[in-house]
Amino acid sequence: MQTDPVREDPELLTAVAGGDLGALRVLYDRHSPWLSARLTRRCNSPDAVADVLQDTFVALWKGAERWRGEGEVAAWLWGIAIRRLVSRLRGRREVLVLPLEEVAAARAPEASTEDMVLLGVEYGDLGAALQRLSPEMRAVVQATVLDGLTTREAARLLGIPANTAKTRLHRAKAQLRQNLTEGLA
Amino acid sequence: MTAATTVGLTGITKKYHGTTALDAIDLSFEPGITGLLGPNGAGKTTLLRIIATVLSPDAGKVRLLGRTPATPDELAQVRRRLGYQPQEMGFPRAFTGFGFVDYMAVLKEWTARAARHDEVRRVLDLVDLGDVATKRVRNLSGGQRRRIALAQAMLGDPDLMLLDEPTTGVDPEQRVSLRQVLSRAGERSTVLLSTHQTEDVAALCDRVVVLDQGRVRFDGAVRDLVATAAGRVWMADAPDPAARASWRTGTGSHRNVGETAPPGAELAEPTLEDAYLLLLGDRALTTEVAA
Amino acid sequence: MNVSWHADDDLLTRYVSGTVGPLDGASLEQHLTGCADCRVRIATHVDVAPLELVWSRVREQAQAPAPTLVERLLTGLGVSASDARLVAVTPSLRTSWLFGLAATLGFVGLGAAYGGTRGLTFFLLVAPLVPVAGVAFAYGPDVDPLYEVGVAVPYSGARLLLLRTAAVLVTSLPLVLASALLLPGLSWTAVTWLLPALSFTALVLAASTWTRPTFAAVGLGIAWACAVGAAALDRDPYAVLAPTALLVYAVTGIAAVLILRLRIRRLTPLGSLS
Repeated sequence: MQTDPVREDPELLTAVAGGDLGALRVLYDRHSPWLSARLTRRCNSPDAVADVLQDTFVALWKGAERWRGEGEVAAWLWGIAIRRLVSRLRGRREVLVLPLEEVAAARAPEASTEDMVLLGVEYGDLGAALQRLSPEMRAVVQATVLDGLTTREAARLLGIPANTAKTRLHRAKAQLRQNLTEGLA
Repeated sequence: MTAATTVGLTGITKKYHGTTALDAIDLSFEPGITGLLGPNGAGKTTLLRIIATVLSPDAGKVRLLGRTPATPDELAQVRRRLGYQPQEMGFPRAFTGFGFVDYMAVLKEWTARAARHDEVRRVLDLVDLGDVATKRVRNLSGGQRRRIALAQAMLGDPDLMLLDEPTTGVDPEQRVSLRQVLSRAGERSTVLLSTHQTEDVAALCDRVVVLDQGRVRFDGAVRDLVATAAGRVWMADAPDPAARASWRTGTGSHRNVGETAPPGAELAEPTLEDAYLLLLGDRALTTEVAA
Repeated sequence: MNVSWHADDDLLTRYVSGTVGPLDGASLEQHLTGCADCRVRIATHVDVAPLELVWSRVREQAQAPAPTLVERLLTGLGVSASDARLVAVTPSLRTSWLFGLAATLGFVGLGAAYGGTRGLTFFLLVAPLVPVAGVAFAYGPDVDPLYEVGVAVPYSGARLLLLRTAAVLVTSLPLVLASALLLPGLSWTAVTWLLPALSFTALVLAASTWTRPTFAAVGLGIAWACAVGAAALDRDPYAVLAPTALLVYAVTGIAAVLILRLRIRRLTPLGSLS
């Protein structure tokens, strides 16, 4: 078997736009594992995760030329995937952004019901960390970091200007990173 | 003609606008790979078309896969076990490579979609086009299109494969891998490949048939044809005017092919190409001579 | 995104098994978006079997040719998926062809409505030749790039020809009928043209067992043009649709159908290749 040179994601996307299935396969092998794990953390139905994964890569196949070349391909893929997952839940907005006071109370039931649980993790620790942020920063972090919305989408959700959301997020991330290194130490 | 013969031709004649393309050809083919060599206009394509049931001869009998197909039903039965790659093929616009082979599979009566798509993937992998078959055919290179055409001929593992110039335009790397595929096919099926590349025949075929002006000039083992050139090929510093053919090789010396070697010349090991040139003389030189 | 740490195996295992804390999990997710190495590493912790299954479905969707509009219409009418594929590729069923045909017929119809005798003559010339042209462009070595390789297959060439002819008739005849409605006055002419149209279609089909459909169509077109022209010169363009003429068309048509039935069973492939 020939060893082909390792192709970067943007190059692979261009190839996919030109109809190269081999390039799609490489992208699939690279990204489906973490995408599937990340989706599973938000939805404990393997069938739904499989369907979303399939839809995501078919969307990638059909729309590869739509990628603008900004940022990471991985982030773009996650954006497609999370939106597909959300639309499968028929977009119940109240599930997307939980008010912080209800976070501690919203413990995910262990057993899966016919409704899939979007945020099936305990928020005790995260709640404590987020408590240290101001309420405005908290809200932006939740919408973006946890749920993968863009700052623009988060801004629209929260009713604030996009630039404000961006700044808050930046500061919040710095603080969170600080908390993280403290936590790991 | 034994029972094992896949193809039996007796007295096959075909004329076009007054010229005789095939003149009372008698040939038979068994499982294995046979090369069909000959200059342009020798009748190779006409012969393949007749065996592929695309053309009817003006005279003579064609016996295929144990039957002489006369009715449409018999024809269909023969065609079910046959794969044909024409010399030139056009493709419908906007077809992808996969879509085209899939279309051919529909014509070959693969009605069940899932099984059909699996078979299409199988033959595309055989010619190493699995990754790019999703491109539009018009965006594929000439060599890739040739391989797509070969892939459809291999659908369903036919007992009889008729390939008209399967490696023309294919790059050398791919040609080697195609030889492996064809060699494996020749283990069970009867493969007839028409080509003007003598090295394909030398590498792949046990048997060679040389056609010229509608007649069979040689029909036998490849090594027997090569043996006819023994003692008639030599290397010299300069081209010999008395030689049948002579050309300069990469090393700077000249390869001469002819009846007698002049004194002092070094005899060389004959190749199939040398034998072919000797057999056909000037007529062979009208085709491309691979360096 | 500048990260100075990478995920260790323990974190990845906990993440994949769902036992990781929410903060670690969230940070790992952020990290993965920017770190190709850790994405590779997490792949070793994930079960590949379901991923392979999803891939085979993705591949199928990527490779399988999507049915065209014509295909979907045909399958909707009860035609099998395979037959629909083979018919949909017909050049004379393409949208571009049909639009061109509709435009031409529009002009011809207007000419018939306002152009007096000349316009009418033109309509009589064109109407019966429309299906003939459609059939000529449906099959045969001149118009079908896959003709040669399509002979060497078990699928019946006769069946393909007949299916395509039927599709051509179903699409083109209504268009001609629509333009026929623009003819002045309500006369039988608006429908009697159907008889020569169908008869000529049968003739082209029968002739294509001897020669290429395009040759047959051109020959027929010239003959018809002569007939229409002669009638026009005689100041009686409707002569080509006179009762005697209609009888001739009917008889020729039936004869052609019989010949077609007889010759379709013969060895000679439809249409000559030489």
